[in-house]
Amino acid sequence: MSLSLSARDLTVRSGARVLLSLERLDLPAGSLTGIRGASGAGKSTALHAMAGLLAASGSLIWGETDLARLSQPARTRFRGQHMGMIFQDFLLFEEMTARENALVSAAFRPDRAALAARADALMQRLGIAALADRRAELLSGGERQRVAVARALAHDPAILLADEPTASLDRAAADALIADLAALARDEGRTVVIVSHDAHVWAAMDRVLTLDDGHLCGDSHG
Amino acid sequence: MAELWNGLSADMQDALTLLAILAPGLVLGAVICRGLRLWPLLSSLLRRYPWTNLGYVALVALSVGLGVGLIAQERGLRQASARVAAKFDLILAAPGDEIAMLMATVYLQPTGAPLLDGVTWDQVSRSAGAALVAPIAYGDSWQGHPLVGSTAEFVAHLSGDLAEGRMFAENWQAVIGARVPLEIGAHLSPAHGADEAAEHDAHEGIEFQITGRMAPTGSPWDDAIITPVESVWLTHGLGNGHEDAGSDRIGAPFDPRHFPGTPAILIATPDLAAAYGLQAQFSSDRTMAFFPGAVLARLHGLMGNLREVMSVLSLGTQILVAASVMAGLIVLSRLFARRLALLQALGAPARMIFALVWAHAALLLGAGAVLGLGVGLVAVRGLSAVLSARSGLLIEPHLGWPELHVVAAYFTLALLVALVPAALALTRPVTQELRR
Repeated sequence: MSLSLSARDLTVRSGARVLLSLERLDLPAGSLTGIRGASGAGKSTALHAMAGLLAASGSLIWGETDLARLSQPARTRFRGQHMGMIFQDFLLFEEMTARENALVSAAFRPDRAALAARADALMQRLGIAALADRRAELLSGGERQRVAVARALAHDPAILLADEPTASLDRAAADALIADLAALARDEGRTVVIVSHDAHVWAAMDRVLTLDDGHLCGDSHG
Repeated sequence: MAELWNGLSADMQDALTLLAILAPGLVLGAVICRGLRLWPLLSSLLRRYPWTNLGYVALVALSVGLGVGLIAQERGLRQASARVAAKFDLILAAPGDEIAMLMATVYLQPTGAPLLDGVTWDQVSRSAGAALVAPIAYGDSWQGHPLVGSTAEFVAHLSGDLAEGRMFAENWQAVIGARVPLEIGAHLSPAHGADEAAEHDAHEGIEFQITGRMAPTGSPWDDAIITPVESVWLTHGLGNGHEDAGSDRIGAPFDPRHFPGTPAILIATPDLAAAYGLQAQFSSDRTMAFFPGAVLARLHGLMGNLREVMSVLSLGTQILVAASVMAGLIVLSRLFARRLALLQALGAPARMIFALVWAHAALLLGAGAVLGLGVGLVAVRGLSAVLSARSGLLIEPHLGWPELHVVAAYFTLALLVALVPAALALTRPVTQELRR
C-alpha cells in the first residue's frame, strides 16, 4: 500500500517561535522526495513533523489520516504501522547483532515471524546476510546503515523517512546505499522522503524541495 | 480459612507468605511486560554499561546483605545462647545479680560471688525433685581456660559420653573441653583467678593430669577444664568436703559440716513442676534460685528491643540505598534516552518504553536482592566465627524464611519505586534525543 502526503498550513512552533511553516505540500504516493537546505533551515523539523514526532497545527494527511489531529499515542501507533525511519548516525544497538537490530521492533510487534522472514529477505537483498550474527559495533559505516535500512523496512511500511542517511558514509558506500534505497522504494511503491545535503541523493529523487528558515522556497523535479 | 491456614505446615505457611509478599511485584511485572519481547533489548542495555549496572547490583546486594545478616546473626546468637542454657535447668546461688550468676555459671564469665554453705547443699541434695545436683566451683584457670570443680555426673550431664579418654576417677585428675589444647595424659598447673588477674604462682606444686576429653558442646564449656570439686577445695586449703579429711574419695555425697562452699549449684529436674517447686523452695533471703532460660529470655527481650532499633536503622539505610538506586536508575535511563527515543521513532508504544525501563530496574534490583542473600550469608558466617571465637558459643547462623521474607518485601517495594524512573523516561522529548 502506498500513501500520499497532503499538508496544508502545517506549522510547528517552539513557544512563540515558528520552526516550520508549510502552506501547501503534496507528495504523491510512491514518490521519492528530497529535502535540502542550509543548517537550521527546518529540514529535520519537517521530517519529524511528517513522522508525527512533533505536534503540529494545520493538517498533515497521510493517505486519509490527518496526523495533526491525532494524539501522541495515536501518532506513534500510525508511525509504527506505516513508517520506517533511518538516521544519519544509524542509531543501532551496538551490542546486538545485525539481525537483532533489524528485528528490534519485534519487541513490540505481534507479527514476529513475518517480521523475521522479511528482515532476513531484506538483509539478503542488501548484501549483509553473511553479517547477520555479527555485532553492530564490528560493522563498517555502510554495513551499519544497511542494517538500519533493513530495520526500517522490516515491517513493510508504506512510508520511508530518512534523515541524512549518507552523511556518515564514504562516497562509494553512500552511492550504493542511495541506489539500494531508491530500488527498494520504487519496487514496492513506497513514499520516500529524504533529508540530505548530498547532491547524489537529490539526483536519485523524483523531486527536491528546498527549505529556508522553515519555509518552502524551492521545488525542483528530477 | 483460619483452620485451613493453621492446618498447613510451618514451611508451607512461610512459602505462601513469601509468595504473597512477592505477588504484587510479580503481578505488576506480568501486567507491565505482557505481550512484549523485552529480553534482547534488556540484554543490550545491561551490556551497554556493564560496570555501571554491576555497581548498582553491588549497592543493592550490600544493602540487602547487611539487613539480612543482621537478622540472621541475631537469631543465631539467640539460638546458640539458648542451646547452652538448656542444660542448666535451675541454678542456685547466693542472693545477688541473676544475670551475673548466669554469665558466670553457664557462660563461664568469672565473677566474684559469696559461697553457698553446707546446710544449703544438704537441703538441695536431699530434695525429692532434683535428678542431679552438682556444685560448680570456678575461679581458677590455666592459660585462659577456666578450671571448674564439679562432679563426674555433671560432666556426663553436660556432654554425654566422653569423646576421648576416661572420666576423672580421683583428685588431681581432670577432663577437658573439646577446644582445650592438651593431650590425654598431659599435666597442667592452675593459676588462681583468671585472665589478667590470674596469679600464676599461687598454686605452686598443684598439678592435674588430663584423663579425658568431652564431646563438643558448642558452649564455653568446650574451653573449660573440669576437675573433681574436692581438688579445687584442696587447692585452696579448704578440705575435701567429706567427713574424713584424709579420704581420697570424690563426688557426692558431701558432708554438710565439712562442705567448704561453692558459688553455684546446678539442679537438673525431671519436669517443670519439680523445677518450679525447687525454685520456690530455695528463693529466700539466704539463697537465690533462678531459671537460666528465664533470665536469658529477659536478656533476649532486651536484645529484641535492640534488634528493633537496629532493624529501623537498617530499614532507614535500605530506604536511602533504594532512593540512591532510584536516582541512579533515573540517571541510567538518561544514558539510554537516545535509544529509547529511537524505539519511539520506530513506533514503540509508551507502554513498551515504560516496560523496558522498569524491567531493567527490576533486573538490577532482583539480581542485587539474590546476591544480597549470598552477601548476608558470607557476612554472617564471618561475624559468627569472630563471635564464636570470643564467646565460646557455637553460633551456626543460617538464612531462613524470615530473611527471605525481608528480601522479598524489599524487592517488592523497590519494584514499586522503580515505576518512577519508568514514568520519567516517557517525559523526555523524542526529537531532541534523536538530534543529540
